[in-house]
Amino acid sequence: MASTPLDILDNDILPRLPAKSLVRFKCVSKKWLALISSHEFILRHLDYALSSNSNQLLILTGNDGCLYSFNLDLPKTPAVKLPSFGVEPFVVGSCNGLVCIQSYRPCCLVLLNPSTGSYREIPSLLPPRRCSALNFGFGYDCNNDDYKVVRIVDRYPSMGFLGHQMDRIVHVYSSRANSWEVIERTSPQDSMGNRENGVLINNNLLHWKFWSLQEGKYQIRCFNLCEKQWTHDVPLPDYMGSIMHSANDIRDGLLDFGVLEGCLYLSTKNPQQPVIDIWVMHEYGVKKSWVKVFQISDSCVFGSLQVSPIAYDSLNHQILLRTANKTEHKVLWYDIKGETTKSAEINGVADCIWIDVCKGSLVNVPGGSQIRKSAQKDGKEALISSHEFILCHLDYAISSNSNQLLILTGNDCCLYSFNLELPKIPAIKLPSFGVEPFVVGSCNGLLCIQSSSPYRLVLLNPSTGSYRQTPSLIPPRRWSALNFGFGILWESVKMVSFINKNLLHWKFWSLEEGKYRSCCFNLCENKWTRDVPLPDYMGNDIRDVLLDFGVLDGCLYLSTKNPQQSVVDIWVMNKYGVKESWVKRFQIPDSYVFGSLQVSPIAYETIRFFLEQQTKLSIRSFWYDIKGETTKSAEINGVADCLWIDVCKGSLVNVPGGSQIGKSVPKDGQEGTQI
Amino acid sequence: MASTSTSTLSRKLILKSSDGEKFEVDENVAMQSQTIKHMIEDLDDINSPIPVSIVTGTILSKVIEYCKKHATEDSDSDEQLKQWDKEYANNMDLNTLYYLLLAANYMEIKGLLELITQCVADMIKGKSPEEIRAHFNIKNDFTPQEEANIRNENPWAFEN
Repeated sequence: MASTPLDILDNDILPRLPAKSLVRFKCVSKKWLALISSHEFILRHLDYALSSNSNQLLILTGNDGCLYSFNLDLPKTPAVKLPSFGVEPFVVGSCNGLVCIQSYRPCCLVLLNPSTGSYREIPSLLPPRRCSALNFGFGYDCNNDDYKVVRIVDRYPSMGFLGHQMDRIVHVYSSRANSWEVIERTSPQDSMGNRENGVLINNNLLHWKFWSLQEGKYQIRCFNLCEKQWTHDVPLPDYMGSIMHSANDIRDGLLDFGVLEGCLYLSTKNPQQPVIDIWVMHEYGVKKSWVKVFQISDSCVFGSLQVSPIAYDSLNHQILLRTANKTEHKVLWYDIKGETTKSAEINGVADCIWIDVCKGSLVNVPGGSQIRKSAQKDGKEALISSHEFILCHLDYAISSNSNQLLILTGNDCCLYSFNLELPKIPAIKLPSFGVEPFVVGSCNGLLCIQSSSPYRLVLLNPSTGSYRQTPSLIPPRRWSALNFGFGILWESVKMVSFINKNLLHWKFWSLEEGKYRSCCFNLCENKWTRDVPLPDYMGNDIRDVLLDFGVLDGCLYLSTKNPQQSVVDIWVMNKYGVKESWVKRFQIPDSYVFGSLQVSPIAYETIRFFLEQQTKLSIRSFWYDIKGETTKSAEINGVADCLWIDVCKGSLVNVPGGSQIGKSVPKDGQEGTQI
Repeated sequence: MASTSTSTLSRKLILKSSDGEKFEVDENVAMQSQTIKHMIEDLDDINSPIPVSIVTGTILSKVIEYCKKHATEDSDSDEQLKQWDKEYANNMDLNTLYYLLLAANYMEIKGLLELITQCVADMIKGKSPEEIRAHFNIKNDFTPQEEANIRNENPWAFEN
């Protein structure tokens, strides 16, 4: 797509995406970040999710006792483990993409947006004692823009007085007030089950079922969150048929009730046949609108005591069922047409024992914090910033072939870094400090980059963004003159760091001897120390054929034109400073490198060498297969046309006295003094 | 041409694409476009070609294919029509979808706009931010550090 009808993209396409995708797309650009974080967009996205079948999340409880979220719109993406706030987490309810989770040790209630990681701990009430039932409900009071939790406790009055009446206390938590208040304290004429969540309709109507002792049947009663009181009973269909309240059978056939596609449903045991009926109330509060929508044969659900349709897949005409009996919980897909069941396997959750549904939204938990990383990861973060870890990481990077970065110059004259170990991740453009940036050298993962207008030298860690400008010298004019007048190749380019990173080497053309010398400058002593012995690469020829030299796998290499054959020899000095240790490592036929003037092996990957080659007209990089003696052009993901390549180690080393790139997000303590 | 009962029921209109291609279509096919519906109301001579200025012939033929299918209400069930829509959209590459989106938006064909919008949404939902930038030609204006901060704030959106 060249360009996009922006309003269609922003207003019509993006609100349809799963919340998780949108969170990921926050880093596409600043504009997208602003859009996706905006209040208007969050509401538009929520509206679309609520009015359509999209953005359905499953909240699963694995047999490891952990919660997972799984996006039905992204079936290929494995379920993601949710952060843990305590043991035995249990979903109490969900509303507008927020989930209310109860857990123990510590006993707590948490509101969490599983798509974004926005969360808030709710101040806990004391765990009730002597209780026969502890139930919660979660919803939204749209009149006051307030998320509320209802807690209902039924308890025995005190030990030993079994004849006494039960005691029921209803508390309501308001996220606006961030506190609980007692709404009701009664002696109930009915009883409720334990751990039965309030069933939410229209965001503010919570429903529970109560067993009426007087009438010998279930009633569904509604608590209105806006009014903070019980408002009405919901009329139920005559699911018991004619045998209702027959002589000795006072067992009610109601198995469960809940919400399916925005409507209340009942699952009831059919009094005549061995099937379970699923009823749906199409028009809320209207008894006549109850319709039996389908039946499930008892054998399909193993005579479960509780059968709850959780989600409907209209495309494949199947229903996700949660079943429970005294010993087992199961999650099944039920094919309505074929009347068959199939165990629901959720990618990423080994064995799922419980399931809840929730919408995926970008809604922030009011007054909430952002989960950045889990507790263990926090520990890792401290570890990763520690000096010891940085050194340990660096040691490994230097002593191994790992953490190789390619620093590429694109034909747009920008620098890019590309990690050879993460070949699928496109190259990242490095920040620009001036035009025509040019890598002068690299050491311990730090790059030294020269650029012009303004003329400056910058030290930069391309992996972390730590950087520092070095005070500039006046641009030396006579450099070019020197180059021209004396024909000396002043290789400021090749600040080849080597051995303890303190020995720099350049090659000089010796006018006296008519050949190249390799001289070494010791940074610790700040002076020229000695020449490095070179192999007799010229044989009997007198024309010097040294093409380039540098470092490969920690050793000095030379690339030379073979005086006899039309090949380029690559020599490596295995033991530094020892002339006898120079060996010819491999040869590249001239034809492959088109008679280049400079051929430089850049990186080594088991049997392939990454080569850079330069003729008078062009620069080219390619992979050379040593065994097969074949070449393949090196294409770097993210860089259209690469002009030049340097290598650098990826490290976490901070530039001493450096600052951190990322002005809009200032980081404490990292702003170094700048000279 | 002899006048038959069908010709009085359904008049023919001529649509002209931006590159000059002409399409003769039944009025009820063309009328699914609100834009064309309004144009006809203002038109004195319905025999003159109606310009669909920003839509090329290739795209217009695809639009007409959709409108024809949806103009004949009797033959297919909802389910079959949905299936047809799905196959129709799945056979397009992203570039064609993009131009169809522009066309459906300009011509105000609600059903087609809805179909293509959802199709593009389904196409991009699983993509990485890098792929999104490439698709929509968006420049990444974050520094690596800023981008890393956003990723750190949402650790599990970036998993998998």
